[in-house]
Amino acid sequence: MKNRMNNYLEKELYSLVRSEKDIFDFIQVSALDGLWYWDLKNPANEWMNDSFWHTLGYDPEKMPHKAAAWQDIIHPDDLETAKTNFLKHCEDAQYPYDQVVRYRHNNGSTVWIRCRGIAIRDENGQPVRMLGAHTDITQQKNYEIALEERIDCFHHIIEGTELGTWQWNLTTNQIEVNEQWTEILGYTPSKKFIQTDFRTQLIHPQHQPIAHRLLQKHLIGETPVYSCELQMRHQQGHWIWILEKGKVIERDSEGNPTVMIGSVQNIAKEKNQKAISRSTSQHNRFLIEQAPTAIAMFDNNMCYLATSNQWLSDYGLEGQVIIGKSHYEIFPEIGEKWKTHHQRCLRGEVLECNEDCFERADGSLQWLKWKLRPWHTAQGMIGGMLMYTEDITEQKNKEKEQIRLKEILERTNEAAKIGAWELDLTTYHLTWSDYAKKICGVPFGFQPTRCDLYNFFEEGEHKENVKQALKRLLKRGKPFQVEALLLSRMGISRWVRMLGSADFEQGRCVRIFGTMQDIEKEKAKEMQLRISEDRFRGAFEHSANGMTLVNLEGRFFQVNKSLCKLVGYTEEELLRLTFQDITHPDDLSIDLQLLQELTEGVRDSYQLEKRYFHKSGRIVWILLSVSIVRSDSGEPIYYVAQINDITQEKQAKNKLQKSLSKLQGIQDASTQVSIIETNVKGIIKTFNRGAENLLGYHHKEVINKATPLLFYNIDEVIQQRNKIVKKTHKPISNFEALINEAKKGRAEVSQWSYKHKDGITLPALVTVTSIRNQHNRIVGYLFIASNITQLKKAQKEVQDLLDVTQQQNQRLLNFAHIVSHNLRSHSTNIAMLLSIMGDKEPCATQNDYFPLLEKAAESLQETMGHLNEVVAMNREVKENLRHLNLNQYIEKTLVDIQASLLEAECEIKNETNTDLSIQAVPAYLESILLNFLTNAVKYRSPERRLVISLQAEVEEEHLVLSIKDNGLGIDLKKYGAKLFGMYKTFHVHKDARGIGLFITKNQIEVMGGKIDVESEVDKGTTFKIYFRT
Amino acid sequence: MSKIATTCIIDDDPIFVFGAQKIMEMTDFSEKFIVFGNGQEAIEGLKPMLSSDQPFPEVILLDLNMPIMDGWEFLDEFITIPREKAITIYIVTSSIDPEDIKRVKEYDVVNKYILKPVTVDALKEILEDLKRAAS
Repeated sequence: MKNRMNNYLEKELYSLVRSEKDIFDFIQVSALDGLWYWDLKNPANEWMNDSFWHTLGYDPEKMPHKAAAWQDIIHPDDLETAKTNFLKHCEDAQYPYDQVVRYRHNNGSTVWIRCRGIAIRDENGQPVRMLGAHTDITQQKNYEIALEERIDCFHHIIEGTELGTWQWNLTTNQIEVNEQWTEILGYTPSKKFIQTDFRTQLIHPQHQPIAHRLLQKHLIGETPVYSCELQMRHQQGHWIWILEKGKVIERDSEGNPTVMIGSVQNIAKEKNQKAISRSTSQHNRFLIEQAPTAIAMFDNNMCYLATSNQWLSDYGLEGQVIIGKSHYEIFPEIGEKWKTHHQRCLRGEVLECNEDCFERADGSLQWLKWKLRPWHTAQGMIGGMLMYTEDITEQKNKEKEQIRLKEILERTNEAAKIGAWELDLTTYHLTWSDYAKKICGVPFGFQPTRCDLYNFFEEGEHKENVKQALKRLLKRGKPFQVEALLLSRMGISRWVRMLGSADFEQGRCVRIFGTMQDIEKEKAKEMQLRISEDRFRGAFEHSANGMTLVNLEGRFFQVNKSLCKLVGYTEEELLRLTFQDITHPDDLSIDLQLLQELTEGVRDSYQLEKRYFHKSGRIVWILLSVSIVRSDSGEPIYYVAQINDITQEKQAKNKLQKSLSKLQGIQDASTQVSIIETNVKGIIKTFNRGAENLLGYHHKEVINKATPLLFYNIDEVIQQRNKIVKKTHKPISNFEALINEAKKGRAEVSQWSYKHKDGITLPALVTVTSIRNQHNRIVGYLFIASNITQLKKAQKEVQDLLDVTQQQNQRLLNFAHIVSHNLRSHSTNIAMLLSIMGDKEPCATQNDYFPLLEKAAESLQETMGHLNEVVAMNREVKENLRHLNLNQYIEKTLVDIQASLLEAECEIKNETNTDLSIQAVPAYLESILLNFLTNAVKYRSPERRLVISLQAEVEEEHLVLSIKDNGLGIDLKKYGAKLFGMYKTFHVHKDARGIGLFITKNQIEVMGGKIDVESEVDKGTTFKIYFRT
Repeated sequence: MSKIATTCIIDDDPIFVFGAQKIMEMTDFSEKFIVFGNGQEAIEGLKPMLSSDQPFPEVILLDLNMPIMDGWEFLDEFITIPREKAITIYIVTSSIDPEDIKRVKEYDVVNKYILKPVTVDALKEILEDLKRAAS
């Protein structure tokens, strides 16, 4: 305070303050950041206090007390405003000199100052001095701007009651207004569109210039928002105070504004109150009450001299009488820190702090902006202290909250690739975060308009859905979440999830905001999932395999028909069971073990052959395939199991196993039979002991190393191959020649020469068969061979025997020939000589010998005849067999021998059917019948009448003719073996020759029949003659 | 009845030839006999007779079973020799083999199959046959 009171204006002011309570009040209320006192008689002279310059960043020592000093650094527009307001105020004390102006800080930044002033008038009411006060509101201003531009536009929210909105199309000069707008101005709600001129005409003529100017400034982009307090004419004629705000939301390519949106607010109340305060400006209490800040004046003992109402309210002192009381009495919690500050101040120091935290007695935190400065008595002594505080707790909290929100938002955006959007309904300004712009494919500099909120979505249902959701949000505040296809400016279509919520202030929606999230991947996944789910469901329901979903406890909660069928339960029954219930106990532990591993993530799936119990109790073999379904977080949810009935396969397998082991047994046991198994290509897979024995190779020498061709005689194989090729005209390999028949499903048995390892050739009987799997596909061949050397030997013996027999037969034929020719010619010679002798030399015949000789020759001739008959028989039969009617032949024979039958007085009973047919040689049949019948007559009993009965019956392939007589009978014990021998007779009878039965038997036998005899001496004989039918 | 001028007997069995000559004498069957021991001799003996003016036997009694050339071979050979006179051949054999009887029928020159032993009756029958053929 070097230049203390060296300026006349300063001195004058101080005396004024002391004398004029109004002035003091004014200073109390307004002047925290600067005070000026202007000599209107000498307008160049103006006194500015130190804080005036400190606030603006200048050294007060260097600044002259000239009006020009600040006029250089005030914003020219604001200077104009200030001048205008000043002039008006001078003319009319009611008109407030109160405006926000911008100064250029010494460091180049803008300092927002609320500048208020009152004119000091002379006794004539003429203004002679102007007293002004500065309050630095930069912080608030910046904050306000920030609010306007940022997500939370608190400024508007606070003021945002009874908002009328408008949208000005600058191209058509039409303004679209909402209902509130028309209501505020008293027009019918039907008024939707107004002309720009109409608005202008509504504005009070006094306010038109400033409104116009502020608007223009905004339109050319100098101010972030247009904001103007002005009066407008109500429809009913009176003037109302309006706060009109607006912002350009669209510009054309040249930067010219095309669309501006804004709001109007009725501020009549506030304005009226201000007006009242002005009218009673002498009333200091009111000034204090209205003071937006808390100011208190203390004496040197820190006792209150005066306080503003704000002070009282800020510190909860309403209704208390504090004037004259000690500050420390009022606030016992005030700490030493403050007391020190106070002492320093009372010693002349100015102390201030823009942000300070003060803990109140109740424990709450209070953020304060404060300033302490001493005041001086007229004597220049420190009279006490002025204390200014501003409670910035709310502001601070909001700031903090905003920072927090912004941080959260940014962090969220980064992490989740979420774009944010916000539509301020007071300005209709749409804000997009960077990521939102990225999603829409627009550059970061892009300024979205409110229509862009839905414009980027694909035409049709997508856009419509978003629109509807927005509409509901605006009307009812219903938060939404919509998933829709968004078509970015780059032409990329992607799924976006859009969320929206609304902020309401006093029942009115002031702001909607939300997020946009690129969910293309998620959506694609979802679609894929849905597709696979659909697919799965289809497969599940219609699968021929059993399928089920099983919960973690093993309970079936979804089963398909195939499974029900497999285990015999209905779906309903099955859903009440767990898989443990129907699993064979022996298979359960391994199943549970695998399931455990699956759940723990050791394995992704497993397969198991196990047994279920069918409802009927029988065992069903199944092939189980299980996999697990997990949640996104990896928690198991349920199991999916596929179940195939393999009972048949299992049975087949068991069967196969049995036969395999059987075969193995045979293989091992068989040391004589060679069993060689090959694959389809002929490579040997099995070579048993028998094969080793037969062929001399060790199984290790041939398994997987050779084909059976190794053992074959190649010439034989080629011969076989050629035979097949000749038939089929298809070239085949040597191996194929061996399996040609087996391939067709036939077992081929043939004889081959096998080669022993030593080179010995041995005859082998080889059976080749194909080995087939359950699908009847050939998987290999089996060569089963046995050494037939022994058999061959036996065969040779048989052959030899046959040869001998044939030779003997030949000899027999030769014998027959000898009999029929040579022997006969000799006998005929004898007969001839005897006959000549009898004629030529009758005397030589007259002795005892000649008749005997004749008889011998005759017998010889007869014997020769019989012999010839026997020899001739075998050769004649086959070509002479006929189907003959037995009954007819019997009748014919009976006729032939009728004479002898009559002579013997024989009774014949022919009981044979007339339609019986037999195979026989006619001459033989006649001879046979004749023979038996004449025999019966010959050997009849002299004691009784001969009865011959003939019967025939079919016995298998033979027809049996029984010829029964009641004659002498034959002693079969004695003669049975010789009955049918040559030259055997058993009766003493004149005609017995003994040749008959022999020839008859031979004849019957060469015709494929046989003969049986039953006889009892003196009772009779029955011959049973078997003929082929 | 008119006698047969010459009868040819082709047989290797001297007993039969003796017996046959005796029976022919008894029945006054033939004036002359020509006897050949087998087919070969017969061909050799009969061939010159056919080509010369010598009288050819009217009746040939042929045996079937003979050494060197049997009766069948003789027949086959004989029918190839060109001749003008009708010749009657009688097979006189002890063979009762039906095959032989059947086979004989294939030869036109063979008139009859006579089974030994030859009897007086059989020769009388031959004479009557010849008489019928001549008349």
